[in-house]
Amino acid sequence: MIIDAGAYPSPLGYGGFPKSVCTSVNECMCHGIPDSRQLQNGDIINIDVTVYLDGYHGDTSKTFFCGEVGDELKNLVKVTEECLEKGIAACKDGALFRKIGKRISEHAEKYGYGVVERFVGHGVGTVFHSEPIIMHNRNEKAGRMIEGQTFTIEPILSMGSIDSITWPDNWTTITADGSPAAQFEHTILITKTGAEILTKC
Amino acid sequence: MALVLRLGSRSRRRSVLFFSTNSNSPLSSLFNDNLKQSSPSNTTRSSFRTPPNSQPGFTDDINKNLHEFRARTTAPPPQQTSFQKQTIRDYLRRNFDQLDQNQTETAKKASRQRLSVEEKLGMLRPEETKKDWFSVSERPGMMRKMEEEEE
Repeated sequence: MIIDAGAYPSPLGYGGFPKSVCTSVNECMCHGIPDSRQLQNGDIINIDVTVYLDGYHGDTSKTFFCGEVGDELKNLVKVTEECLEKGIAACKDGALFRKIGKRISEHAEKYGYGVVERFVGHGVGTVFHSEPIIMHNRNEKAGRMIEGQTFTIEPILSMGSIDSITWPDNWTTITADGSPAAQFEHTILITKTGAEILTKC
Repeated sequence: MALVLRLGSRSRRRSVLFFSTNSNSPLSSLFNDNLKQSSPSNTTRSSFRTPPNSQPGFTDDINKNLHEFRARTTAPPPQQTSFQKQTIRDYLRRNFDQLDQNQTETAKKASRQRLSVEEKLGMLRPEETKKDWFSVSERPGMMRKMEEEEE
Protein backbone atom coordinates (compact mmCIF):
# COMPACT_ATOMS: atom_id res chain seq x y z
CA MET A 1 0.00 0.00 0.00
CA ILE A 2 2.74 2.46 0.90
CA ILE A 3 4.74 1.52 -2.17
CA ASP A 4 1.65 1.71 -4.35
CA ALA A 5 1.22 5.29 -3.21
CA GLY A 6 4.77 6.06 -4.28
CA ALA A 7 6.18 6.27 -0.78
CA TYR A 8 8.59 4.16 1.22
CA PRO A 9 8.06 2.72 4.73
CA SER A 10 10.59 4.62 6.82
CA PRO A 11 11.04 1.97 9.55
CA LEU A 12 12.01 -0.75 7.09
CA GLY A 13 15.70 -1.31 7.56
CA TYR A 14 16.01 1.68 9.85
CA GLY A 15 18.54 0.68 12.45
CA GLY A 16 17.91 -2.88 11.42
CA PHE A 17 14.18 -2.80 12.01
CA PRO A 18 12.94 -5.69 9.88
CA LYS A 19 9.39 -4.61 8.97
CA SER A 20 7.53 -1.72 7.40
CA VAL A 21 5.40 -0.82 10.41
CA CYS A 22 5.41 -1.37 14.15
CA THR A 23 2.56 -3.36 15.64
CA SER A 24 2.38 -3.33 19.43
CA VAL A 25 -0.18 -5.59 21.06
CA ASN A 26 -1.52 -5.33 24.61
CA GLU A 27 1.44 -5.05 27.01
CA CYS A 28 3.82 -4.10 24.25
CA MET A 29 4.30 -0.36 24.62
CA CYS A 30 6.01 0.25 21.29
CA HIS A 31 8.28 -1.00 18.52
CA GLY A 32 6.50 -4.32 18.23
CA ILE A 33 7.68 -6.30 15.22
CA PRO A 34 4.85 -7.78 13.14
CA ASP A 35 4.89 -11.55 13.38
CA SER A 36 2.69 -14.58 12.84
CA ARG A 37 0.75 -14.30 16.08
CA GLN A 38 -2.89 -13.99 15.21
CA LEU A 39 -4.83 -11.21 16.88
CA GLN A 40 -7.36 -12.41 19.40
CA ASN A 41 -10.69 -11.14 20.61
CA GLY A 42 -10.09 -8.54 23.28
CA ASP A 43 -6.65 -7.46 22.10
CA ILE A 44 -5.64 -3.87 21.56
CA ILE A 45 -3.07 -3.12 18.92
CA ASN A 46 -1.12 -0.01 18.10
CA ILE A 47 -0.15 0.38 14.46
CA ASP A 48 2.69 2.82 13.95
CA VAL A 49 3.22 3.97 10.38
CA THR A 50 5.90 6.25 9.00
CA VAL A 51 6.30 6.94 5.31
CA TYR A 52 8.95 8.74 3.33
CA LEU A 53 7.66 10.66 0.33
CA ASP A 54 9.18 13.43 -1.77
CA GLY A 55 12.03 13.83 0.67
CA TYR A 56 10.00 14.00 3.88
CA HIS A 57 8.94 11.58 6.60
CA GLY A 58 5.48 11.53 8.15
CA ASP A 59 4.93 9.62 11.37
CA THR A 60 1.66 8.57 12.99
CA SER A 61 0.14 5.80 15.06
CA LYS A 62 -3.16 4.75 16.50
CA THR A 63 -4.42 2.06 18.85
CA PHE A 64 -7.29 -0.14 17.71
CA PHE A 65 -9.66 -2.61 19.34
CA CYS A 66 -9.87 -6.24 18.25
CA GLY A 67 -13.35 -7.64 18.70
CA GLU A 68 -14.92 -7.12 22.09
CA VAL A 69 -12.60 -5.20 24.36
CA GLY A 70 -13.21 -4.73 28.06
CA ASP A 71 -14.25 -1.37 29.44
CA GLU A 72 -10.97 -0.87 31.25
CA LEU A 73 -8.99 -1.22 28.06
CA LYS A 74 -11.44 0.95 26.17
CA ASN A 75 -10.96 3.69 28.71
CA LEU A 76 -7.18 3.39 28.54
CA VAL A 77 -7.27 3.85 24.78
CA LYS A 78 -9.76 6.71 25.01
CA VAL A 79 -7.72 8.60 27.59
CA THR A 80 -4.51 8.04 25.66
CA GLU A 81 -6.02 9.60 22.57
CA GLU A 82 -7.28 12.49 24.67
CA CYS A 83 -3.75 12.97 26.02
CA LEU A 84 -2.47 13.33 22.49
CA GLU A 85 -5.17 15.88 21.76
CA LYS A 86 -4.33 17.86 24.87
CA GLY A 87 -0.65 17.75 24.02
CA ILE A 88 -1.37 19.12 20.56
CA ALA A 89 -3.62 21.81 22.02
CA ALA A 90 -0.67 23.08 24.06
CA CYS A 91 1.36 23.82 20.94
CA LYS A 92 1.91 27.14 19.25
CA ASP A 93 4.76 29.44 18.33
CA GLY A 94 6.55 30.52 21.50
CA ALA A 95 5.00 27.93 23.81
CA LEU A 96 7.28 25.96 26.12
CA PHE A 97 7.93 22.38 25.10
CA ARG A 98 7.44 21.22 28.66
CA LYS A 99 3.86 22.40 28.53
CA ILE A 100 3.12 19.35 26.38
CA GLY A 101 4.27 16.95 29.07
CA LYS A 102 2.41 18.89 31.73
CA ARG A 103 -0.89 18.73 29.87
CA ILE A 104 -0.50 15.05 29.07
CA SER A 105 0.46 14.09 32.62
CA GLU A 106 -2.34 16.11 34.15
CA HIS A 107 -4.90 14.28 32.07
CA ALA A 108 -3.44 10.80 32.49
CA GLU A 109 -3.12 11.17 36.24
CA LYS A 110 -6.80 11.99 36.57
CA TYR A 111 -7.53 8.44 35.48
CA GLY A 112 -4.71 6.77 37.32
CA TYR A 113 -2.62 5.99 34.26
CA GLY A 114 1.12 6.28 34.03
CA VAL A 115 2.89 8.12 31.24
CA VAL A 116 5.86 6.22 29.90
CA GLU A 117 8.97 8.36 30.16
CA ARG A 118 11.42 6.28 28.18
CA PHE A 119 9.93 6.94 24.77
CA VAL A 120 9.61 10.47 23.50
CA GLY A 121 8.45 12.44 20.52
CA HIS A 122 10.95 13.91 18.13
CA GLY A 123 11.55 16.29 15.29
CA VAL A 124 10.62 14.81 11.93
CA GLY A 125 10.87 15.98 8.35
CA THR A 126 13.74 15.39 6.00
CA VAL A 127 15.22 13.29 8.79
CA PHE A 128 13.25 10.55 10.52
CA HIS A 129 14.37 11.49 14.05
CA SER A 130 15.84 14.82 14.99
CA GLU A 131 15.57 17.67 17.47
CA PRO A 132 13.50 18.72 19.30
CA ILE A 133 12.87 16.00 21.86
CA ILE A 134 9.27 15.96 23.04
CA MET A 135 8.79 14.58 26.52
CA HIS A 136 5.32 13.38 27.44
CA ASN A 137 5.72 13.46 31.22
CA ARG A 138 6.29 16.38 33.56
CA ASN A 139 9.74 17.74 32.86
CA GLU A 140 11.93 20.80 32.99
CA LYS A 141 13.12 20.77 29.44
CA ALA A 142 14.10 24.20 28.25
CA GLY A 143 13.06 25.61 24.95
CA ARG A 144 10.13 27.10 23.15
CA MET A 145 8.35 26.06 20.01
CA ILE A 146 9.04 27.94 16.83
CA GLU A 147 6.68 28.53 13.96
CA GLY A 148 7.49 26.10 11.17
CA GLN A 149 8.84 23.33 13.38
CA THR A 150 7.59 19.83 12.75
CA PHE A 151 7.69 17.14 15.38
CA THR A 152 5.73 14.21 16.74
CA ILE A 153 3.74 13.90 19.92
CA GLU A 154 3.23 10.25 20.80
CA PRO A 155 2.29 9.57 24.42
CA ILE A 156 2.25 6.02 25.74
CA LEU A 157 0.01 5.33 28.72
CA SER A 158 0.10 2.23 30.89
CA MET A 159 -2.50 0.79 33.22
CA GLY A 160 0.28 -0.24 35.56
CA SER A 161 4.03 0.03 35.50
CA ILE A 162 5.71 2.55 33.25
CA ASP A 163 8.97 0.66 33.51
CA SER A 164 9.86 -1.42 30.51
CA ILE A 165 11.63 -4.53 29.35
CA THR A 166 13.18 -4.75 25.92
CA TRP A 167 13.31 -8.09 24.21
CA PRO A 168 16.54 -9.54 22.83
CA ASP A 169 15.63 -8.20 19.39
CA ASN A 170 16.45 -4.76 20.83
CA TRP A 171 13.18 -3.39 19.55
CA THR A 172 10.13 -4.97 21.12
CA THR A 173 9.44 -3.25 24.42
CA ILE A 174 6.84 -4.36 26.93
CA THR A 175 5.68 -3.09 30.30
CA ALA A 176 7.67 -4.55 33.16
CA ASP A 177 4.58 -5.91 34.88
CA GLY A 178 2.68 -6.96 31.77
CA SER A 179 0.14 -4.17 32.04
CA PRO A 180 -1.60 -3.09 28.85
CA ALA A 181 -0.32 0.05 27.20
CA ALA A 182 -1.76 2.29 24.50
CA GLN A 183 -0.30 4.94 22.24
CA PHE A 184 -1.44 7.59 19.80
CA GLU A 185 0.78 9.74 17.64
CA HIS A 186 0.63 12.59 15.17
CA THR A 187 3.15 14.67 13.29
CA ILE A 188 2.36 18.34 13.76
CA LEU A 189 3.44 21.66 12.30
CA ILE A 190 3.78 24.62 14.65
CA THR A 191 1.95 27.70 13.47
CA LYS A 192 1.70 31.21 14.84
CA THR A 193 -1.53 30.45 16.67
CA GLY A 194 -1.46 26.70 17.21
CA ALA A 195 -0.52 23.46 15.54
CA GLU A 196 -1.56 21.82 12.32
CA ILE A 197 -1.86 18.04 12.32
CA LEU A 198 0.00 16.81 9.26
CA THR A 199 -0.91 13.15 9.62
CA LYS A 200 -4.67 13.47 9.82
CA CYS A 201 -6.95 11.77 7.31
CA MET B 1 8.13 5.49 15.71
CA ALA B 2 9.03 6.77 19.14
CA LEU B 3 12.49 7.77 20.13
CA VAL B 4 14.15 6.06 23.07
CA LEU B 5 15.31 8.37 25.79
CA ARG B 6 17.79 7.49 28.50
CA LEU B 7 17.26 9.24 31.79
CA GLY B 8 20.25 9.69 34.05
CA SER B 9 20.06 9.56 37.81
CA ARG B 10 17.51 12.06 38.94
CA SER B 11 18.38 14.89 41.18
CA ARG B 12 15.79 16.72 43.19
CA ARG B 13 16.04 19.76 40.99
CA ARG B 14 15.86 18.35 37.50
CA SER B 15 16.30 15.31 35.37
CA VAL B 16 19.47 14.97 33.41
CA LEU B 17 18.86 13.91 29.84
CA PHE B 18 21.49 12.20 27.77
CA PHE B 19 22.01 9.42 25.29
CA SER B 20 24.25 6.74 26.64
CA THR B 21 27.04 5.82 24.26
CA ASN B 22 26.57 2.24 25.36
CA SER B 23 22.86 2.18 24.76
CA ASN B 24 21.59 -1.02 23.18
CA SER B 25 18.82 0.78 21.42
CA PRO B 26 19.37 1.12 17.69
CA LEU B 27 17.40 4.33 17.75
CA SER B 28 19.76 6.05 20.16
CA SER B 29 22.72 5.74 17.85
CA LEU B 30 20.65 6.68 14.86
CA PHE B 31 19.30 9.72 16.62
CA ASN B 32 22.81 10.81 17.52
CA ASP B 33 23.87 10.32 13.92
CA ASN B 34 20.92 12.38 12.78
CA LEU B 35 21.83 15.14 15.18
CA LYS B 36 25.25 15.41 13.61
CA GLN B 37 23.57 16.13 10.31
CA SER B 38 20.76 18.21 11.75
CA SER B 39 20.93 21.69 13.15
CA PRO B 40 22.56 21.82 16.60
CA SER B 41 20.12 22.45 19.40
CA ASN B 42 21.73 25.74 20.33
CA THR B 43 21.57 27.35 16.92
CA THR B 44 19.59 30.44 16.18
CA ARG B 45 15.87 30.51 15.70
CA SER B 46 15.98 30.72 11.94
CA SER B 47 17.74 27.38 11.58
CA PHE B 48 14.57 25.48 12.33
CA ARG B 49 12.71 27.25 9.60
CA THR B 50 14.95 25.72 6.98
CA PRO B 51 14.74 21.93 6.69
CA PRO B 52 18.10 20.36 7.51
CA ASN B 53 19.98 18.56 4.79
CA SER B 54 18.77 15.07 4.20
CA GLN B 55 21.07 12.17 4.93
CA PRO B 56 22.74 11.32 1.61
CA GLY B 57 23.51 7.70 2.50
CA PHE B 58 20.16 7.00 4.03
CA THR B 59 18.34 8.67 1.15
CA ASP B 60 20.32 6.64 -1.36
CA ASP B 61 19.40 3.45 0.47
CA ILE B 62 15.76 4.45 0.50
CA ASN B 63 15.75 5.25 -3.18
CA LYS B 64 17.47 1.99 -3.98
CA ASN B 65 15.02 -0.01 -1.91
CA LEU B 66 12.10 1.93 -3.32
CA HIS B 67 13.24 1.15 -6.84
CA GLU B 68 13.50 -2.54 -6.01
CA PHE B 69 10.04 -2.54 -4.45
CA ARG B 70 8.50 -0.89 -7.45
CA ALA B 71 10.23 -3.29 -9.80
CA ARG B 72 8.80 -6.24 -7.89
CA THR B 73 5.32 -4.85 -7.48
CA THR B 74 4.81 -3.37 -10.93
CA ALA B 75 2.24 -5.39 -12.84
CA PRO B 76 3.26 -6.68 -16.30
CA PRO B 77 2.11 -4.42 -19.13
CA PRO B 78 -1.22 -5.36 -20.72
CA GLN B 79 -0.97 -7.43 -23.92
CA GLN B 80 -2.96 -4.92 -25.93
CA THR B 81 -0.68 -2.06 -25.09
CA SER B 82 -0.01 -1.30 -28.74
CA PHE B 83 -3.71 -1.01 -29.42
CA GLN B 84 -4.34 1.08 -26.34
CA LYS B 85 -1.72 3.55 -27.45
CA GLN B 86 -3.44 4.00 -30.78
CA THR B 87 -5.39 7.19 -30.98
CA ILE B 88 -8.91 7.52 -32.22
CA ARG B 89 -7.62 9.58 -35.09
CA ASP B 90 -5.29 6.81 -36.23
CA TYR B 91 -8.08 4.29 -35.88
CA LEU B 92 -10.41 6.30 -38.06
CA ARG B 93 -7.71 6.98 -40.63
CA ARG B 94 -6.93 3.28 -40.96
CA ASN B 95 -10.57 2.37 -41.48
CA PHE B 96 -11.21 5.08 -44.02
CA ASP B 97 -8.04 4.20 -45.86
CA GLN B 98 -9.19 0.61 -46.09
CA LEU B 99 -12.53 1.78 -47.41
CA ASP B 100 -10.77 3.79 -50.06
CA GLN B 101 -8.90 0.76 -51.30
CA ASN B 102 -12.17 -0.99 -52.04
CA GLN B 103 -13.56 1.77 -54.14
CA THR B 104 -14.02 1.43 -57.90
CA GLU B 105 -11.80 3.12 -60.43
CA THR B 106 -14.19 6.01 -60.56
CA ALA B 107 -14.19 6.23 -56.80
CA LYS B 108 -10.43 6.11 -56.76
CA LYS B 109 -10.40 9.20 -58.87
CA ALA B 110 -12.66 10.90 -56.42
CA SER B 111 -10.52 9.73 -53.56
CA ARG B 112 -7.67 11.87 -54.82
CA GLN B 113 -9.60 14.62 -53.22
CA ARG B 114 -9.46 12.72 -49.95
CA LEU B 115 -11.23 14.40 -47.15
CA SER B 116 -9.41 15.38 -44.04
CA VAL B 117 -9.97 13.45 -40.85
CA GLU B 118 -11.99 16.27 -39.42
CA GLU B 119 -14.30 16.26 -42.41
CA LYS B 120 -14.71 12.51 -42.16
CA LEU B 121 -15.63 12.88 -38.54
CA GLY B 122 -18.26 15.35 -39.64
CA MET B 123 -19.75 12.68 -41.86
CA LEU B 124 -20.52 10.66 -38.76
CA ARG B 125 -22.50 13.45 -37.19
CA PRO B 126 -26.31 13.41 -37.57
CA GLU B 127 -27.81 15.68 -40.22
CA GLU B 128 -28.70 19.07 -38.94
CA THR B 129 -32.13 18.85 -40.44
CA LYS B 130 -32.87 15.60 -38.72
CA LYS B 131 -35.48 15.81 -36.02
CA ASP B 132 -34.18 15.21 -32.54
CA TRP B 133 -36.80 14.70 -29.90
CA PHE B 134 -34.30 15.26 -27.11
CA SER B 135 -33.03 18.54 -28.47
CA VAL B 136 -33.84 21.20 -25.92
CA SER B 137 -34.30 23.96 -28.46
CA GLU B 138 -36.92 22.06 -30.46
CA ARG B 139 -38.78 20.47 -27.60
CA PRO B 140 -41.21 23.36 -26.91
CA GLY B 141 -42.32 23.40 -30.54
CA MET B 142 -42.90 19.68 -30.53
CA MET B 143 -44.93 19.93 -27.39
CA ARG B 144 -47.09 22.65 -28.86
CA LYS B 145 -47.63 20.59 -31.98
CA MET B 146 -48.70 17.60 -29.92
CA GLU B 147 -51.09 19.75 -27.95
CA GLU B 148 -52.62 21.10 -31.14
CA GLU B 149 -53.11 17.60 -32.48
CA GLU B 150 -54.83 16.53 -29.30
CA GLU B 151 -57.18 19.48 -29.56
